[in-house]
Amino acid sequence: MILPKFDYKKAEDIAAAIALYERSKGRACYLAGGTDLIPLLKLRLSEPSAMIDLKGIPQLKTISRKGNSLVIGPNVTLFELKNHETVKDYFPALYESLDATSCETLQMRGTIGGNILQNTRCLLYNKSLDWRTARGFCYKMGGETCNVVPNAAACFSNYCSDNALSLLSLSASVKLAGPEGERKIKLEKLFSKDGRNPFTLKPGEILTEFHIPFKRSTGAYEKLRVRNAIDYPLLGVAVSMIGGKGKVCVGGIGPAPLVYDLKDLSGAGLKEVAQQARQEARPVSNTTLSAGYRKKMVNVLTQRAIKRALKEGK
Amino acid sequence: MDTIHDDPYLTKVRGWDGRASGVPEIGTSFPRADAWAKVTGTEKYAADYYGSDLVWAGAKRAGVPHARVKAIHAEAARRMPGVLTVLTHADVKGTNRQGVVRKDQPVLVETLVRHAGDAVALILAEDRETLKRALEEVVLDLEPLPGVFDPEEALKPQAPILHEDHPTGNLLLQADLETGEGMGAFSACDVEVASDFQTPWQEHAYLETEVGWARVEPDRTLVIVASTQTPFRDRSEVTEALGLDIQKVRVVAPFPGGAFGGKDGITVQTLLGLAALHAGGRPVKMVWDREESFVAGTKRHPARFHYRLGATKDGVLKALQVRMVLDTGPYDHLGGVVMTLALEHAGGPYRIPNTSLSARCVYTNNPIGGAFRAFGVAQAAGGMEQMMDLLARRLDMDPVEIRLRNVLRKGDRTPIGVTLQHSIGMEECLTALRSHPLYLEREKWKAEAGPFKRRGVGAAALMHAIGYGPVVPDVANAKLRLTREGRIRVYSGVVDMGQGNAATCFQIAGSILSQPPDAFELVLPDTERTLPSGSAAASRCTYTFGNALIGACEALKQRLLEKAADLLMAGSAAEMALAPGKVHHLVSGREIPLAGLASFMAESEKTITHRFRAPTAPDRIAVSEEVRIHGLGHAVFSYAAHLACVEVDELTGAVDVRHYLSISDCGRVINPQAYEQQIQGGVAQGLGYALMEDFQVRDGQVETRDLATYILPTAMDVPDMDVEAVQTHETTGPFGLKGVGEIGTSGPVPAIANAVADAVGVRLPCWPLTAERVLEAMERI
Repeated sequence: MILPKFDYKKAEDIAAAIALYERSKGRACYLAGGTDLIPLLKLRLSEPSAMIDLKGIPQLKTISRKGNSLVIGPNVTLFELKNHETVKDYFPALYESLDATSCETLQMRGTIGGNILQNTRCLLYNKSLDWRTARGFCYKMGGETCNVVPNAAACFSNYCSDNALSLLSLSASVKLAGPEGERKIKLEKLFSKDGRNPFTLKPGEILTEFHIPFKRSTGAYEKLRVRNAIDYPLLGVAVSMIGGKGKVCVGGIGPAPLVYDLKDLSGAGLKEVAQQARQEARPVSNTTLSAGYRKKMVNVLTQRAIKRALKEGK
Repeated sequence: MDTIHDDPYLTKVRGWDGRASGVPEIGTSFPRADAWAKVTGTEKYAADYYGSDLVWAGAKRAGVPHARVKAIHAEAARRMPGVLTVLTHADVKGTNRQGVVRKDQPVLVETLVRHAGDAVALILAEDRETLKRALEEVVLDLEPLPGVFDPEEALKPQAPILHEDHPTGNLLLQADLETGEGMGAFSACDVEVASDFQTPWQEHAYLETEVGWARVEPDRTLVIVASTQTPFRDRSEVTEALGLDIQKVRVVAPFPGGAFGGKDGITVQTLLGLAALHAGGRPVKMVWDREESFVAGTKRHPARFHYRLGATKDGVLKALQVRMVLDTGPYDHLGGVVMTLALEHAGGPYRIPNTSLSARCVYTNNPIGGAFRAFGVAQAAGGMEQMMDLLARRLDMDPVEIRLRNVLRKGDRTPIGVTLQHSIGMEECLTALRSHPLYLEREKWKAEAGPFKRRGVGAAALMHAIGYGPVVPDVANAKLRLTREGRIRVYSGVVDMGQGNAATCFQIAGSILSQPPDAFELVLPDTERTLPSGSAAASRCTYTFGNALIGACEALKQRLLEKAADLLMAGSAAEMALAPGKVHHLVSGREIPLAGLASFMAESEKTITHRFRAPTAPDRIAVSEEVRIHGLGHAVFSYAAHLACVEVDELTGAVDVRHYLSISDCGRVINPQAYEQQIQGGVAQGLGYALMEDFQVRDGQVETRDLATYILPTAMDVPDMDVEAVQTHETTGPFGLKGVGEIGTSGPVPAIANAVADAVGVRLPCWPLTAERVLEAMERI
């Protein structure tokens, strides 16, 4: 497939990137690793007038300790982050989700920022233009309907970042910079819960930092997929525990992750969280696996992830 | 004259470019001659042909599975800047028909669309973007017709007919065969088991999709460079379909970037030829993107089987009934041939004295069924080998033991009644499997499964025919030439689509002529340069072409020794010996370099050809002549025993293949490394078929059109394999070899299904064995 035509600009720093964006009248997009964006362009799901390459901004590529947080630049590759000295020890859920992302070759190209800001996916959305034209456009393509669930009022596309789930379980927050200045929000607040436009980013905003509370955790990441590499999660569950309390995050189903607090570590408590997640997860027939199977697996993988997180804490 | 040096289309492979040395010996591992160029990206595939002033060609596909063409509105597209022309069937001067056996597929649709991937118009444009936009501008005025998407529905009287001119309607071909007492034998059986199986489509999913390049030369010759398994047959098809003179058509076949049967027959060739005829001498390129490849390319035929197997209480097979229906989609392609091979292998490698076998291959408006590695046998073995385990369980016998009790031996008749006169290592394969640690220690391994995991072990016994069978001559013609530099040029008539037969030519020729790889050049198949040697298919490449090559090498050797003896005034050729780069007089110690020898030889003396025709089965199988011409009854078979060790997740249903063992009798192994690679590749492809490759078609429309929804195994999903060989000596094979290309592919479905049944007690009537299906079945029991 062929890429559409666009201008290519390389930004030296964050301010320059934002200035370039403003000059494009809102028709540019930011480029980091490109592993999510380039396929979207090829399928004509995104047709920006210009790409503003952020890869040359040194500030976005660093990992450092600041106060009680580990601060991660969004252009750190998944592979670099996975192999960072603190990640495996302090944030095992993150280590596992990074390791489970696609395959190592793509981990070396894809960035943590791009991974978090990847667009939502759907069996009937990530298709060629010919195919989509034949079917008719859905909500996410600017149409008036959902092609998966007839008469549905919302878009059911799936948010498929493995690492958002583990970062959420670690209570991460993000720093954003844009034409209107800087702000810092909890990672949860990044999600709009609307599949058409899944993030609460304002036009021209750049994700500039991830902050993870620097406390040693135990944790696990469980991923439902057909094969052992490349696949997006058909369901993902991350669990991180610190000092007898934890967070459980379920994703890969619907446009935003589900987050639960884990306080009761008894067998019944675990089952209750798993059951609640199963009830609240609303998979539809928009992946290669059936909705019923994925729903059933929410329970299985949630319990499995919690049990592993607890076991590894002992 | 040696005009080869200024031929722009010639693909020549040098022997290792000095990266390996020494005279290759038969039976030792040698790095492949093509490996270096391929992994460093310098190999020139058909996809790499461009040239200045290139024209891009693309097909407008129907998009609907069954319709009458009322009009093709191409005016807007024709007016677009950058569009050279838009062609329809009216521009085709020949028969406009293609097909390997039955010529039932139009190059460009005339009045009737029979599947969504049918090509209706052909556009020539200056660049790919213009081509893409022009394809959108062509509007097809189609009157939709009711389609038929189920092969059994297609046989009902009210079903829409796809080919009005076919005397048996949607029934492409039927074969019925009985041996012994047929169905009557079931009454004398102590036990019987019965089951139905339904098999999916499988997509070839090669790295290099269907692609080619073509140009009409100043002398009016149409040159087509294509990714193909069948350059010589392609030339005939192009000639006929487009109404050309066969002497003015040349097809060149570089190494395909994967083919697996999907390039056995026409893909881009006729369309490219047609485009080139309208391109004013400019080069034309056609590339199917992945979606087009999925929609318009051929697939492994889906099949439905009914199996019934009867035996004595001691597990001796007595009776077999098989009913099968194959969905060939809208065109025969190789459907009839696939069906007859499935029929021939439906009873597995066993002595079954009474059989009743029936097969039907049916037209539908689904995607086109075609050749795919293990050609009907993968489907049949998936059924039969599960029947053997069902029977073993019924009799409470060991599954390997019951197979051993019934294996074919020399002199036995196969389930269709062929008397086996050639090498058979089936019993040796199973015996080796039975004494392998994976089998001996299986109960201990199974007991070590972790929480929520259950383990099982499953076996399969396989056979696979080599070559075409009767009627169509299975012939290869090798050509050798001593060049003026004193090298030996091997002209290969059979394509190497990745399996490694090109490199094996160096090993065969090198060992006979006592020359290191550097002494050779290999010319890849090309209708102008090499001699017709059949398709790269049917596990026949090294078997058939290797035999021809041995004959040619021995004749060349004799000629070189005689010529050298004359020049050195030696007593006779018997006093001479070939050594690297020279001929040596054993008595005097004098030598003459091959280059020197070449300078004394006339042009006509420097070239040697040799023909080989493969043997056929001695028996005449009692089927109609129409079925027989599809190749029923083979003489030579390879055999194998496979073992899969799987772990099933009780809560998710996921099947993880932890170990895999393959022990094959493919005769003598010429290159152990290439042999192992062939088995591993075949098993990996079979593993995808068994566990995850789920080609979805709804109402004739392909739903899985990309590699994100059609899931192929990755390196992370393929277990380490033990690949072993039981080396029988096949007297008709080159150095005792039999084919190895396909047999590995048929094992994983039954071995894994049997292992899953062993682990969790469920057996599915279909595959792939996805986690979801396995879990659902587990929940039902």
